[in-house]
Amino acid sequence: MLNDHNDDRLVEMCFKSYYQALHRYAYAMLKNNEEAGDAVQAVFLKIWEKRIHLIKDQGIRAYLYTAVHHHCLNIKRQQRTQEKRLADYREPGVININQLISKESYNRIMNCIDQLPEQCRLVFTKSRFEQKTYNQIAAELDISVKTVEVHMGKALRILRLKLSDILWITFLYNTFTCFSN
Amino acid sequence: MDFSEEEIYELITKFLSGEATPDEAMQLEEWKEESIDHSEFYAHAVRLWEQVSGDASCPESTNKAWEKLAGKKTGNNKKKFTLKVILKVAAAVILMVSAGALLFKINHTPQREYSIMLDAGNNFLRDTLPDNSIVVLDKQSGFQYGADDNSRKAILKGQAWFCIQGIDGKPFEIETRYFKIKVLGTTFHVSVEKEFQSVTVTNGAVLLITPHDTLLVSANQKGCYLPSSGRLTLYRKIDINEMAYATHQFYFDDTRLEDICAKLASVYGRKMVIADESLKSMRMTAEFQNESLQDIMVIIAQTLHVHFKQTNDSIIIHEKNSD
Repeated sequence: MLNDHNDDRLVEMCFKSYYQALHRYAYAMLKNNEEAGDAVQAVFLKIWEKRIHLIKDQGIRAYLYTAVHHHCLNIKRQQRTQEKRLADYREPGVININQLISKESYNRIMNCIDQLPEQCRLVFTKSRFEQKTYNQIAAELDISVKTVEVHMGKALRILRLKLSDILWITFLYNTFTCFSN
Repeated sequence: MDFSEEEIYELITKFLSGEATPDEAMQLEEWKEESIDHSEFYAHAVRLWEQVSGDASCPESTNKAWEKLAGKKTGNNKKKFTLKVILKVAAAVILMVSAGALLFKINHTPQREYSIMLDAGNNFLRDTLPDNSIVVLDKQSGFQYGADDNSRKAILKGQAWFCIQGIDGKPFEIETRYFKIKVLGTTFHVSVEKEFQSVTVTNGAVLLITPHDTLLVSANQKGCYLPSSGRLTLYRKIDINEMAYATHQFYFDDTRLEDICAKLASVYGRKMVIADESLKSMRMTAEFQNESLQDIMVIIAQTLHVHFKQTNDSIIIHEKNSD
């Protein structure tokens, strides 16, 4: 059995080894940097305080990913409940303005999305702009979840080919933003 | 990890949509780390995704996040502390008694001595330690080992393969030239190459500790230390042939016969000669688990349609019709 000092050391090692990857995973689910960071920290805090022995089950990485996944699902569930309550008071038609790129680039992206094959465009826009889950999209369009996955992959492939020239501009912008934070 | 282009686009979009399962998220991380091309491909896809979504992942630095977490833990501890004052006083009394006992014990514990010293010389050396851990030293490598009631410590010079027996309350630490390895019950291999020193783990986990960095290396991972940068780096691919001198396990994936022979020669200590130049570039895929060299040669001969003959100190491989 590891002693307290070794446990602390191990938690630190795990945190430093997996924080960035777990944050990426949590961010993909929560779409919020701060909430994603908090989710990863909450998982580690629980491990630390409840003295969950990471070594014994030989699957530290799998345990962490699963714990972050469950934590994020819980947060999303809470957020959905809150949103339902707020929906009655909110004005409709609020548009999320993309602040990462110029208006011209944004229009070009939207134009490329419009040119996607019909079903592919429908799936992609429902996922990206209506924030619907794969399950919801599959149910709405009466297709399988696997078909949704295929359309999403196809959309990204087509867009990536058509829009490769403006990607570097965003990359530089994001890099600058990250480093200046 | 082999994915077709379609599959990897699907996996990336699934991940970025927040739909990936933990297994899929890990598969994607592993795929990214396989090569620079993969990580650039992923970064490119993410940039596009962020443009469409209008928001971007921008985590704070790992060290900053760690400090924040450590602060939260301390804060929680303080809260508990104020709520349980009486319990704490009682604990303090017990602690003082224990500390006294511990101090007594430390003063009366004999200083550790490295009771076992091994030197491989020109051969591989296999030995079982008193705790039933197994060590196999590569040629020209040296090993010192000592244990007391609370710990097991060793010093390694050169490279070696270990199968360490986990013992509760008795951690196993190995010091090498560049880092300290804290073993968490495991099988692993420490290798020294010209440019770097590495630890390849096949089972369990180890912590690599340098004065400036620490790294957790789990099963099927490799941790490397590059003296020029002083950094520890994690790789998620391992080469089991590296430790074949200890395990006699080989995995050849479309490997040239010349390279296969070189590996077998170094492990089995036999000179291997490929008599016909044209045979050197023949390729073979095979896995060998603890086979004798004779058996391996029979399999190679049958697979590649070649002949081999053995002399006192060497094995000669030649074409079937040239005898």
